[in-house]
Amino acid sequence: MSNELKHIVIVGGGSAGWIAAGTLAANHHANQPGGIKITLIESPDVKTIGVGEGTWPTMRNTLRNMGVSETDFMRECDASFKQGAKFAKWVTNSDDDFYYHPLVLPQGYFDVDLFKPWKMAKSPVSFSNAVCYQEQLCERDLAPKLISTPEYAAVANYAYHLDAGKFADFLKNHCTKNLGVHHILDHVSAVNSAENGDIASVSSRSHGDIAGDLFIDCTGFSALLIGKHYNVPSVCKKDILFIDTALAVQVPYDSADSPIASHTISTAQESGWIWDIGLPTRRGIGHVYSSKHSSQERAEQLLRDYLAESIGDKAKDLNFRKIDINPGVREKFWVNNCVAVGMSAGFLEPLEASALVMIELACASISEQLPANRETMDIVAKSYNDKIQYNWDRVIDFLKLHYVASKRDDSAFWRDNRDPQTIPESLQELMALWQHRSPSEYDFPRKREMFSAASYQYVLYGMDYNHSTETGFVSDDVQRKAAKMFAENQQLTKRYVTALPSNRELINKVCQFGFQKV
Amino acid sequence: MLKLEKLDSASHQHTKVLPLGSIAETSMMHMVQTVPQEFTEIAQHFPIFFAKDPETGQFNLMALLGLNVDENLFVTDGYWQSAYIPLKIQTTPFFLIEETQQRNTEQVSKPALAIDVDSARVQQTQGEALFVQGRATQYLQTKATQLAQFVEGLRFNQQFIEALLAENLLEAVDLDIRFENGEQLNLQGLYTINKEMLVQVPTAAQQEFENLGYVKLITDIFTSMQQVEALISRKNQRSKNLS
Ligand SMILES: Cc1cc2nc3c(=O)[nH]c(=O)nc-3n(C[C@H](O)[C@H](O)[C@H](O)COP(=O)(O)OP(=O)(O)OC[C@H]3O[C@@H](n4cnc5c(N)ncnc54)[C@H](O)[C@@H]3O)c2cc1C
Repeated sequence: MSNELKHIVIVGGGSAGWIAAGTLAANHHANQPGGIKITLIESPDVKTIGVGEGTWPTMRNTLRNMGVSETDFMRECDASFKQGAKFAKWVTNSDDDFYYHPLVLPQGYFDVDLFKPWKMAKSPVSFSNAVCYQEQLCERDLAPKLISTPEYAAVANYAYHLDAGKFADFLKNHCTKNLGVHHILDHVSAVNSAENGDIASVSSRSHGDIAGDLFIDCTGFSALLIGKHYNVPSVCKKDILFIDTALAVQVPYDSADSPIASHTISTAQESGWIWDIGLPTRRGIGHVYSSKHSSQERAEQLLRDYLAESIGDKAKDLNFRKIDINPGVREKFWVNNCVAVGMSAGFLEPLEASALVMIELACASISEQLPANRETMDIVAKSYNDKIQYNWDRVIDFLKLHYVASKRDDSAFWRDNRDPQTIPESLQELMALWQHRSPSEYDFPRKREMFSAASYQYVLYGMDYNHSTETGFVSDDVQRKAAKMFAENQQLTKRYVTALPSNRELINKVCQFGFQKV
Repeated sequence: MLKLEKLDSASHQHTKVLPLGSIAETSMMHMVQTVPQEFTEIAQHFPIFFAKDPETGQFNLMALLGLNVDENLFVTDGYWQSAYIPLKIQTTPFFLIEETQQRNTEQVSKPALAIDVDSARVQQTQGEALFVQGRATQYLQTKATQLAQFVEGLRFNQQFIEALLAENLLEAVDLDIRFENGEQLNLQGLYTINKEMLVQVPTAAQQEFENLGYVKLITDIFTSMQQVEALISRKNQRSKNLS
């Protein structure tokens, strides 16, 4: 059949392009005669965004599925372990205001809901500390596993922090050397239509026209195919999520053995927040803010103040890179034979590192449901659009929750964030339900949710969300189970804080010895 | 803890070493590194497994001596109860250390013989002397030869293990043991060679395994598995004696 899907062309070689290439090539045997051919074309003139260094634990599966060795990945991408996020000053802005969103599920998560027993005990121990040991690992800069733990396996669930530039290069190398992906370094200057409105080919400057059966738009903010060619509008989300500007900087450590934080540190500011990501060789730090609520000068000043706390006077001379963000999501992602993945499909803001995980989800979905031919493509496109739209809506709700649950009253940014006009109806409904009970897996209907109910629990209870006072009835049975879980968590905490090495120590060992596959 | 001193005839002229087994120093050793030169004997007495060095995560070849951490089922009242004692244990309390020397502008390192002066077997009154009239005794020379053999064996092991890993031949052992007294144990942290994968090794690599002597080692390792039963019997026996 002539309309068989045989050749996929990916335009763009940032994280999105290479994750798409690696996932599709591995699953569809691009390096074998009967496999699907995959070509990635990227412009030598348009740089990749160069940020995006926090991930979710899904990345472990994504990499393993591509046949990547975790040791190679960590060595070459300057990667470190991430065990969640610490949110400082998001709730009251007082000095001791912080909470954790760890990656390990609450103890006994599928068996018993620990929220009510925790709340009724009125203990001074935070929700995260009562139900999960990971905050204590993070507070001590400990690693999530041992050098004798096999690659990709965990003692405590983990993701990575990585160098975005090195990550794209690493995947490029793996995809072209091991997975049979064709790589073209050239600028796409035109998009050529077929009669049915499909993309027939893209024209490049020196490699002529490149034809394909499916085109993946990974061109980042330029959205060459989905935006410029198909004119699919980006639906602006600034009315919900106000962040629209980033100031980014990289900062070296004091010494080669300075501790490496094993979590993302997110510190709320007057009109936004600062991310702080520790890699083995440097920290990546940035201030994202709402330009409606803050001037650039003020945002720079706050970033400098933050930096001065750890690096002193050196903060004065640093130059910041400014990145404009238009928080928005494409109205559709898959049109005809073109699907957008990455920032061409949408971007909101860096909170909770939702972008790369969304890319992984998109690529896995395209790969698993890859239409065999043009005839069935529209069916796949329709369900894909529904699913991805749903996921973006969930991400929007989850990110917005961080602002809505805040009690900060010190600036217009925080007050405006709680204006019901800015809160999606879906989130308002969930929050109304959560006045009376804790978030449950049943609140989220899809099989593969981006964020589990556990994530919502950690954020809500970390933020001391105003739960209605009566907590209701807890049976003896639940009470007993809960007591057991709390005790088990205490034991695990004790065990792991003594058994696990520091993040720095383990990363050094990974560089020196590497993980075993088994 | 070890306290190693480099041996020399002057500072150790009066040093003496009590024979192995006179002191219960290995009674808490539940496994010990083993080398190919002794595989045939080892396989007759102890199961051979692969285990990771906790400090480096790298695989070593180990003779299993007990079923729990800190348990050596072959030592009773300080005495070894097996007809063969693993080479590594025979070499105690001696060690090879890397000694770095400044030679002209270069740093050169070479192996040097050392002794663990913290070992209770090391003292000045009884046992084997190390030096007589400034010269190494027959005893010390034997130990030096054994150590050299052991180190050479470790090097060979590394190549052997790398070859096995390259063919994805190592797998974790999942061993559930139920003892006569009803106690149960899940043995963890041990690895062995995957038999199913072994038959799938490409012909070229199989030939290479044959040429390098790896096939013989693999056979020894499989033979040694019979000793797991023997270990369990020892453990049952020990529990009986205790109760
Ligand atoms: C401030 C900030 C912080 C972020 N932090 C996080 C985070 O912590 N975690 C997270 O998951 N995500 C984060 N993100 C998002 C993340 O950076 C992106 O989702 C990710 O890098 C994917 O980008 P991309 O590949 O879509 O686009 P890009 O990296 O911009 O790549 C675009 C590619 O398209 C190519 N291209 C463009 N035009 C053409 C043309 N005409 N012809 C050929 N090729 C072309 C370019 O050469 C380039 O290769 C952050 C984003 C920002 C802005």
